[in-house]
Parts: sequence; C-alpha cells; structure tokens
Amino acid sequence: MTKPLLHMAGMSVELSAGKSQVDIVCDIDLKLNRGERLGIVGESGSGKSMTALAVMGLLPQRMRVRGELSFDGRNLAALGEADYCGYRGRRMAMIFQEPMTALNPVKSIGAQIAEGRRLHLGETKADAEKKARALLDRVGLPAPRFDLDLYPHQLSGGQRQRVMIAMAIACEPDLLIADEPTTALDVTVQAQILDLLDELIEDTGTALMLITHDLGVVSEMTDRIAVMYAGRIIETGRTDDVFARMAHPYARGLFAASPHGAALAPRPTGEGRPRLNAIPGIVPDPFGRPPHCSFAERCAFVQTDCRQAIPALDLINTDENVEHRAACFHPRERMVAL
Amino acid sequence: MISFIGGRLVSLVLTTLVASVIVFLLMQVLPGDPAVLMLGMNADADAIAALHRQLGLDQPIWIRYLHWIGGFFVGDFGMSLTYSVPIRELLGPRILVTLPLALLSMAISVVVAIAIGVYAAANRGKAGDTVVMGIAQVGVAIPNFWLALLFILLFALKLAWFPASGFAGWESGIWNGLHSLILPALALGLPLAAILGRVTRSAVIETLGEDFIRTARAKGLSRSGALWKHAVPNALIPVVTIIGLQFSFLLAGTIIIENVFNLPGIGRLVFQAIAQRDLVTVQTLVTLLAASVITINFLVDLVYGYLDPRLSRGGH
Repeated sequence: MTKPLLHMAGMSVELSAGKSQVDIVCDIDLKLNRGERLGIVGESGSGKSMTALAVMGLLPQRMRVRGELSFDGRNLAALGEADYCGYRGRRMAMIFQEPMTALNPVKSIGAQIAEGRRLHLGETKADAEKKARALLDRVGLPAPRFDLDLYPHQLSGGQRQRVMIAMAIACEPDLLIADEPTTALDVTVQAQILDLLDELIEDTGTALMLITHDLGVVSEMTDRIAVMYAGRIIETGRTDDVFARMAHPYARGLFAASPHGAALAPRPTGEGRPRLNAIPGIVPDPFGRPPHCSFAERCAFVQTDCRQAIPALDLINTDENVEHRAACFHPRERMVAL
Repeated sequence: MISFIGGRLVSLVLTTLVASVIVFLLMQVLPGDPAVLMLGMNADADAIAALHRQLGLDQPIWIRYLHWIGGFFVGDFGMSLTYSVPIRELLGPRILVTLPLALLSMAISVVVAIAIGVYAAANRGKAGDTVVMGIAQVGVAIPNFWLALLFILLFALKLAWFPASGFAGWESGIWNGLHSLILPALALGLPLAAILGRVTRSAVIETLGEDFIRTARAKGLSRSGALWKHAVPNALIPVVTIIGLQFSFLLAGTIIIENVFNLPGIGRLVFQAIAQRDLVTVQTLVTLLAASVITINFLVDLVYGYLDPRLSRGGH
C-alpha cells in the first residue's frame, strides 16, 4: 500500500490565550491519498477551517500544531519556514471562501496568477503570463473578454473565484484545499464553480480537501467524508456509506437541517411543505467544552454514559469491507430509534 | 484615464483662481498704501496720485485683479515695490534653492517614513516597533526650527561636516550646492517623516490583516515577500494622501528653515517681502505657493490613479 499524501494522527491545534491553552482542534486522525477527495463537514466553529490552515502552515499567531501532521512522508510541523514556503502554492494550494477580499485589489489578475509560477518554477514573466492566459481559459474566463490586465474589481464574485482557482492550480499541486469555495456565491454560480472544480480535479488527479457545511456539495464531490463537531471528528467513512447510514446523532441532525436532506426526507401525507429541523442549542466554544461527549447537551438521545467520557472514534462497520467510524456511545440504537 | 486627468486639470486651474482671488482681496484690505510707503509719509498728494496712476492703483479693483492675474498666468508678475525689479527676476535664482530643498526634504521624509513604518508594522508589538515608534513620537513633538538649531550645533559647529548657514551656490558645483542643503533638508524632512512613519505603520498593519495577504502566503510567498509585494503597495494609498497634505507644511517650513540657515530661497523672500510691505511680491509669492500646493495635490491624484486601479479603471 502506498503511503498517504496527507496524514494526521492525534493532531491537535492549540491556542494559547494569555496563560491558558485550549485545543481548537482535538485529536484528529485523517488520511488523504493521492487523487482522493475528502469532504470535511461541520458548523462554523467546528474547527474545519483551522484544520485546513494547520495543513497549510498558516495558522493565526498563538496557535500551534501538536501531534503528527505529515505531507508526502515529511513531517510538516518540523518543516522550516523557507521549506514550507516551497510547499505552499507548489505542492499544496488553497482556495478561500471570500473571493471579494481574497484577491489583491491593486494587482492585475494576470500578475496574481503568474506570481506562483515565477516564484516556484522560476519562469520568466513572459512564460508565466502565457501560462496564466492558458489557466484563465481553462477556468472559463476566455480572451479577449477576460484579459490578464483586468483587476479584481472588474470581475463578479464567481469570476473572481475562477481566478482564485486558476491561481491555486497554477503550479499543479498534489493537494488542493477548498475552504467553503462556493459559500459566498449565488446559487447558480455555485453549481458552475463546483462543476469546474470537479472537472479540474478529474483531469489533474489532484487530491482534494473540501471544507463545507453543505452536505449536498459533499455528497456530490467527495469519496470520503469527515464530520467535525466542536473540534473533533465525530463520524467518518466513505461518503456513500456515511450517507447510507449516518450513525452519529449530530451528523443526522446536520443532514436533517440542510435543505438537501429535508428535500430527500419522506414527506408525511397531509402535511404541507417540509420543515427544516434545526438542531437545538449552540456549538460549545473551545473554552467551554465538556469533559464528555460535547454533543450530549444538544442530543435528543442522550444517556447517562454520554456525560461520563468522551467517546472514541470507533468502527461501526456492518460488514468487513466498509470502514465507517463514529464517535458515539450508542450509534446503532439511535439508528434503530430513528 | 484621460477624463480622470482632464477633470483633475480643470479643478487644478479653478482652485488656483479661487486662491488668487482670496490672496488678492486679502492684500487689498491690509492697511497701508504702497505709494505712501514708497514715497514716505511726507510726500505731497500730487506725487502720490501720480504714482497711483503709474502703479495702476487708480483703476477699479476688478481691473487691477484681471491685470495682475492675466500677467500671472503668462509669467509676468509685475514689479517688486522694494527692489524695483521684475518679480520674475527675483524668483529665478531663489526657486533654484527652494525647489531642491523641498524635493530633498520630501525625499528624506518619504524614504525614512516608509522604512520605519514598514519595519515597525512588520515587527508589531516587539521591541523594535516600540523603540522606532517611541523615537517617532518624540520626532512629532519637535519643531523643525529647534531641530535645525540642534543640527547646526552638532553637525556644523561640533563635527564641522556641513556649513552652519548660507548657500554655496550651484555655480560652485552641484555637490557644494547640495552640501549646504542637506542639514536644512534633514531639519525640515525628519519631523514630517515621524508623522508619515506613524501613518505608514498603521496603514501597513491594517493591510497585513487583509484576506489577500493570506492568499499571497498560501501561494508560497514568504512573510517579507507578502509584506513588500502585497501589503505595501496597498498601504501606499493612504500614505500618498498624507504626503500631499504634508507638502503645504513643508512649504511653510521652508520659510522658517531658510531663515534659520540663511538660505536665499523663496521662503526667505516671502519673509522679507512681508517685513518690507512689498505687497505685490507677497501677493504673487503666496499665490505661487498656493498653486504649487494645488499642483502637488494634482500629482497626488495622478499617483492615486496609478496605485489604485479601482479609481482609474472602471468596472465592466
């Protein structure tokens, strides 16, 4: 078996606030193979973006990584800043959520796309710009309407996100991290951007880490899924398996709360349009996480042992060939109950 | 871009005209008759009336204004009342002192300000930031003439690196001329650099928090690469605004500094003309200074359009 491209084992992201420390992200075990597509799902504050920034080595000040985090066999935590710069943009690239602010307003889009190739591949300005032109064509921004010397303010949100994608794939990275790439866009544009991402990943064989709160997006785009809650992975497995039999009450709640899930749910006859089932309560903040299952307070199926320890991310396989894990003391009972 | 420049040019001319009207009217309401000043208190009425006719002072006020402003725009500023030579002849050699002095001070101010501002922003909260900004805080509080006196004491009298006062003249060589302008330019430029440095620091700090800096880092740029290639070009926009505003302080400063260093420049001429009630000269010089401030702000607008494509290039 080949070694995974990205490997996290017992990885935590620690925040130092004054004298106290708290783990924003706890004890993550994740593997991502070359060419594989992983979806990370969760509410805001679940730690999914911090997990991505940890991989990129771009965590905010006062945050640091503990545990194992390796990329292509190299320990990223031990990587010097200069070496890390050689990885970012070259071997791993990231697409951010806010296309309106993630591009530099005073630099032309051509210069911003070409920058990575000039930096990492030492290309001349002319060569890098030729490549930038090809990349713009590739992401659906053809000449002459979309010249290299356009500035971000001359483009719409969707067009800017295409520029971001062109920038991210400019050096043909092994890993592409997309952090809510369509959240800030119009619904019609979202589908186009996802199609574009899908197509590019299909062509290039880049591994994808897709971060989103939209289960519909994950089900269409990914091979595997990890659902995060309060800094931990609470359910993970092949996307098909997880969607077929969601085990953790939070994952089920998330599914029921999404328009996608509600639309698929059986509709009782005699009732009007389906209602979204909001999960009651809020995500506990990192400083107030309980010493037991952090979903217990919001869980409709909570039992006494849920308030005694933190459940491990255990296999809940129904057959040998499936690897489906959930961090819940009573996953199957609840599956029956629902 | 053409209409951007055209619009700014029209406003440049209009603003200069408004400034000239205000200056002209101010000179009219000042007490004292130039003819009486020239001929003395005991001159007889006929002589004064004759001089009034000669100077055109018997004309209505708007005719005199038009006559003066018409000459102003073609470079005919009239005669100095004290020196009885065309004002233009007084200006020529003095501009060659004041303009290099102003440019040198400006250059010192901008270079020092960007260096300390960017350094402090990149090291925000660390010892370097505190030290540099502490010195800048002191610099903001020091008046330029006092700094000039300190510089003369240290660099001219004690170390004898520079002349204490006077101007060597360009005819004695570029270096000699420049040499006598360095101390005045430092005294004039450094207090401005202290203010501009603080503005630069806060502008860079603000830009460093922008999303596109994270994008640049995600692309593989080092911390300093993202700072210089992405943060600084954006932070320059507010900095350039302040540079434009500071230019008027700089011109006012030349009046003081040229007197401290005894430099034969425009500032000193203004000072002397005011002291000698040479009203035509004062009126011309003040309008010229106003015009140069307006021109600098016009140039700032152009630089703006260059720095910020959102201003010069419309959306699709």
